[in-house]
Amino acid sequence: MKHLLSILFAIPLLLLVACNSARTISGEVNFISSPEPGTVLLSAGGYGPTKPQAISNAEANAFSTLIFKGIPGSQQQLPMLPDETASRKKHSAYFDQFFKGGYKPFMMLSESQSSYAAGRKGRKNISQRVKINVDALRREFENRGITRKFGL
Amino acid sequence: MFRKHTLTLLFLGLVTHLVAQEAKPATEAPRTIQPSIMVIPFAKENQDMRTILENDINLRVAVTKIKEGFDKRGFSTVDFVAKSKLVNNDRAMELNNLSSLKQQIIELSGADIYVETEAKINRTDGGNSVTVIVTAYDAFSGLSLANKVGNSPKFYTESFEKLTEKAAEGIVEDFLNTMQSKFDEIVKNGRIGALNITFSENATSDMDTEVGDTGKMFSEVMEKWLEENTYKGYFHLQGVTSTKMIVDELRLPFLDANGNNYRPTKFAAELRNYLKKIGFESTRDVQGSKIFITIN
Repeated sequence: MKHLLSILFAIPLLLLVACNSARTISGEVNFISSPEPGTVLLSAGGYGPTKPQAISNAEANAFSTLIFKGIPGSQQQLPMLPDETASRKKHSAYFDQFFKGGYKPFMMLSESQSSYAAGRKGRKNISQRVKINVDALRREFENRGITRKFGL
Repeated sequence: MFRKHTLTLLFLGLVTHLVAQEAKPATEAPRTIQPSIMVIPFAKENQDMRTILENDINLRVAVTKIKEGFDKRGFSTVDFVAKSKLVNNDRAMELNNLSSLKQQIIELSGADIYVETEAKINRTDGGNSVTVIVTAYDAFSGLSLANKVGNSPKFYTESFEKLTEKAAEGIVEDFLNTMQSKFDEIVKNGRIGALNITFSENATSDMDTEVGDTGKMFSEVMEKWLEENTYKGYFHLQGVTSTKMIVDELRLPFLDANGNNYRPTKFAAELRNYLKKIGFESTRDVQGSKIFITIN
């Protein structure tokens, strides 16, 4: 009975931890170039207890900054979705999935540009080059009703 | 038995959790009204826009690139050349004023927004480049919606069309994003307008005249009407004298109750009808988003 209670307690806890693993979003995202119209190449830092988790975190950071903050120096200076809190709240299920890997169809490239190693604060991190298909991402948001199509 | 049920419950809990994580199906896209947009060449005073466009390949490239940007967003623009041909040359000659020709084209096109485009060649010892300047204006209010300046990289080349293409490509996305953010702001807060209510010289009433048996002055009744008929009740009263009421800013909705475009002329008509109902005859004049009402 005691074991059973422990399991009952542990499972939801594990699920919650799993949900949160790649959620810590940092602003370590910088514009590199726009290789073709409608795309953007970014450099993004990511943290995680394992290398794959750090890579996922870097990719999620790149997408999150592009979508909710905008990328200075690029053609996407304005955020794609200006009201982050409202968008995340209204489309919480979509964005939960999106940042857990749902962004991959819009990611044209993800390659490491540093080794996975501990940084100044001791947290292990990695730097990724992430190329994003911005046009396709915008169309996705428009088709799902997350953002309005161009116009009034 | 107890363990079996517990395991089943755990399994069901896990499945429910995973199902809850799946993305919901696409929600219906919010309705958008497509404003009509025309991309026009920039012209100085006394210059004919069509001649400028026909004689300048770089300008044509810049205009086409900007139009392409709109197309990519699923937006068709009004063709400037086609529309300018519709303008009656005789009438233009009669007016003998080329800046009026521009106004005529904008009016005839029915464009809600026009985008002025300019391409300038820069020659330097370090190479040649092209600067493209684009500005979007609300045709009704003259309000500037977005402005961008793009420079091509410098090259030792005389192929200015390519440089123009580079300069325009470098700003078109940002330009459209800025326009969209202005659209979002307008949709949220309404379109900007202004209203002047005056009394003609022969009028027998003024702002202090009591309306019917309400015991309220005409100016008070007007304020109440504006509260109820402007978008979200937003208007700013600059001042009221006995013969004049100036509302320097008011917000108008974009859609009427039937989902049709709500233009300043409609607002003026509604105000005129209301005035008639409370016993005041009036005339109206609408210039862009400025409404002038004169009580007779």
